Amino acid sequence: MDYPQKVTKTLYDNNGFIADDFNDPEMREMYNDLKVNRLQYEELFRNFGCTLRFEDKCFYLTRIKVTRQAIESRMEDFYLWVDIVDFLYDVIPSVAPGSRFYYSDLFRKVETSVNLPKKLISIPLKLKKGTVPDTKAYMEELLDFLKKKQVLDEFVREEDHVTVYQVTSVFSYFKDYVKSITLRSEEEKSYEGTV
Amino acid sequence: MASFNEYSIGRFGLCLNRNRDLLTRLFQASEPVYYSQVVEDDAYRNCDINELIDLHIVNILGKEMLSLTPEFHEMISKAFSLGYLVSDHDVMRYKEKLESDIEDCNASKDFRHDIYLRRVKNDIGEIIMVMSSSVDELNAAVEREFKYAEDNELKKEHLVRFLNTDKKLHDLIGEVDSFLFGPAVKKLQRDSNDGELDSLIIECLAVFSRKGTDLLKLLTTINYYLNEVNKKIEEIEKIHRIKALKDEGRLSSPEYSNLREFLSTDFALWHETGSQHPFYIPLEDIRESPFIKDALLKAKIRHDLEMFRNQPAGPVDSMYNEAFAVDKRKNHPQEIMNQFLPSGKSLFSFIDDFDFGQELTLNEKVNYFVYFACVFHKQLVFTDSYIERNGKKILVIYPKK
Repeated sequence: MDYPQKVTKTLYDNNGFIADDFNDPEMREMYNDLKVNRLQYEELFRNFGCTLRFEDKCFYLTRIKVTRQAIESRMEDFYLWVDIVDFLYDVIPSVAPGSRFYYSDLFRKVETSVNLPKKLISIPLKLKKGTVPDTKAYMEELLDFLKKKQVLDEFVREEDHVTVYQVTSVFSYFKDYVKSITLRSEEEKSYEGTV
Repeated sequence: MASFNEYSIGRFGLCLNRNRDLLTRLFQASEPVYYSQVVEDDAYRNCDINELIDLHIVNILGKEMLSLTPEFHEMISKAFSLGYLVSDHDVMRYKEKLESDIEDCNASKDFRHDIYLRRVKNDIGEIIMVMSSSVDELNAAVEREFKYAEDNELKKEHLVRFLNTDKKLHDLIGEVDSFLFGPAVKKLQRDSNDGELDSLIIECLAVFSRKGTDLLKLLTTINYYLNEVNKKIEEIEKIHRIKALKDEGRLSSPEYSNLREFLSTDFALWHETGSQHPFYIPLEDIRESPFIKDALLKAKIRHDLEMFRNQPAGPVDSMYNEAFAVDKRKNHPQEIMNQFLPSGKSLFSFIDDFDFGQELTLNEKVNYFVYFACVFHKQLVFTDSYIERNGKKILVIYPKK
């Protein structure tokens, strides 16, 4: 294990992911370290009450022990992500790991729409103190949040110094997570009612 | 399309009077086609595929086959027939029929050549019709997907790739068409003898072989993209449904989803929005900060202290984890501390009496106790006396005055 402290800080302290498509070279080094020393890291995180998982080229942690109270809390966290991903699909339907977009395009699309600003504001993210609560502020807050949660990587294009956002594989984690949830349709329920 | 019959290509192939060696050479010259690219249903395609394998046109890798919708099955089946269904049997039958037709005409040699060429040309015309018809069907399918995608607010540029592929297909058809009915063929039609006619047809078949492979690849590509679009649409629809249920407050109900059950088993720390563990001491601080270590050593009850000495990281961290599960939004540590400092009570007694919004176990209370002792140790006085709760000795700590 070459980076136990950094890996612990990223995965555990910051509730993060370590994936191989992050721009940060340090992240990729940690990713390689995790791949090579996976068993030792699993043991380390078991002591923290967590399981180390690896899916879609991403490492992350899940908790082993869950209290009832924690499920309620998880529910709220999950709802926040539903709001965010629902909004993202409305703005960029083709959003997927590796896709890129510009802030200006995103902002223009939201600003010229009737429903999108309402949707954006309804996402329960807190604005920084003293910020004017307009669409731009909410949009920036959302992008900051997504960057912080590693869903977006940000880099500046060399030719024209324009900031580009790139979607990381963390997005596909949430997408797959949602796929695994079973929804029961009205039809199924009415069918069950008649049986 | 209505006049197309399955043997058209076979009959067309006959006038070459070439056997499978020639065909094999032609097909081998183009890029290999893989079994997994072109087939889904063994029962449906079995017969044709065997022929293709015999001709070394299709390579089998043993991979799973692509899932194709019935209409694509049909189109691909037709694409097969454009270049691939030439068997010895078909060739013989076509040759016999064509020759007997021409003999029956009892016409001059030139006129017979004319009939011969016209027949072949008609057959090629039928093939073109089938190709065009396939393209029409393809267009209709793409249009349907496009409309569906638009209705579901899927961005147009997402579909541009399909349309580009579709355009390539149109170009391909045009190319074949102009080759077969272009000036070169008209000239040959006027001046041809048996040998030239044969070479013309060979050339035609060569074009068809190459284009047939291209067509097949394009159809497979289009089908792949359409499947991708379908998947994407399903994803978006599911998220919209989840969002709608959430907004109606029904998502957590077991009648509508298994979310609650799901969250109790599998949930990455990543979802947890908090940087936001208010009751959280960074690992580095626990291990490296002398103040926290000292405070922790002072504050820990004896049992935990031993564990801490033996194995600094694990047990302490997992103990804090349990504390994090307590409602973290209502109780901020600084607010609790603000209430504690003027209270004059001992720290554990204060925590014991404090309303955390739920009933806490003794261990959970000890977790809070240790947390406050560590983080706010500068504002606290550590005494030498202990109080006892359920067999555990807990240090008495007061706020500094």
